[in-house]
Amino acid sequence: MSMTFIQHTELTSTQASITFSSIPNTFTDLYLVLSFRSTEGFTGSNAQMSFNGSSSGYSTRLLYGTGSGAASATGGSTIINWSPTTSGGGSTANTFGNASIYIPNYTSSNAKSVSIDAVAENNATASRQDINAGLWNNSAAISSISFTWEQSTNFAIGSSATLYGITRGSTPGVTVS
Amino acid sequence: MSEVITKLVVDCESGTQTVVPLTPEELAEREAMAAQAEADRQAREAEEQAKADAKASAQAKLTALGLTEAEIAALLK
Repeated sequence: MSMTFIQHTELTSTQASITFSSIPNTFTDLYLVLSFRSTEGFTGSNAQMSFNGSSSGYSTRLLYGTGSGAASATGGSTIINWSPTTSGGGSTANTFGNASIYIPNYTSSNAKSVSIDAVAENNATASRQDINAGLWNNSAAISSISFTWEQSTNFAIGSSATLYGITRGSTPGVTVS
Repeated sequence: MSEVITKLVVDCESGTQTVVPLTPEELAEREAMAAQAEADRQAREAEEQAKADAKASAQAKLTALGLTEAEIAALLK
């Protein structure tokens, strides 16, 4: 298999949303590496993701640890969201929540699965970490991915997102380009 | 002057990154989402509080029946 850099962005001003558009359909899978912080004052903001501007057909199930316990939850149908990542005034200054997201077979005409592994960086006992299994029940190939916040806050300066394309291979080994 | 809320669009084909002001429809949707998120948060907190209250009430009743703390803890596992 090979892993190809597609695009990267790091914010120099606050933004309500970040969208990767015109995603090429030439790869097998997509992989996202995110470093997000919101501008609101809570310790946890729910980052969320949608495909092709769609607001239907989603489902998620997540397992999370809070620092003092563990639990599970079910997400809604209008968008995929994950743990309260890190945020403004409530979190340790200059920390960002991280997430890696894998989307296999993103051009398939079948439902698309999504795997999210996320952690909220915060220098305190309470700091959430989740794994999240998601699904988008839609036959369209994923051509755009948008990130927003459930609480409609903004992405803080320094938030970044990187998109990679994964291509399957017939020989062993991994090539990163 | 009110703050202009913008979004960033990264075009993966051309590599261009464009900052675009939200449309009135997007602003309205954003406000509705914020209201819904706040309502959901309050509902979650109320549910968690109700569970905690019920647990505390059950523990008090078990204590009144004469159960020890160890016995109550064993029941709640």
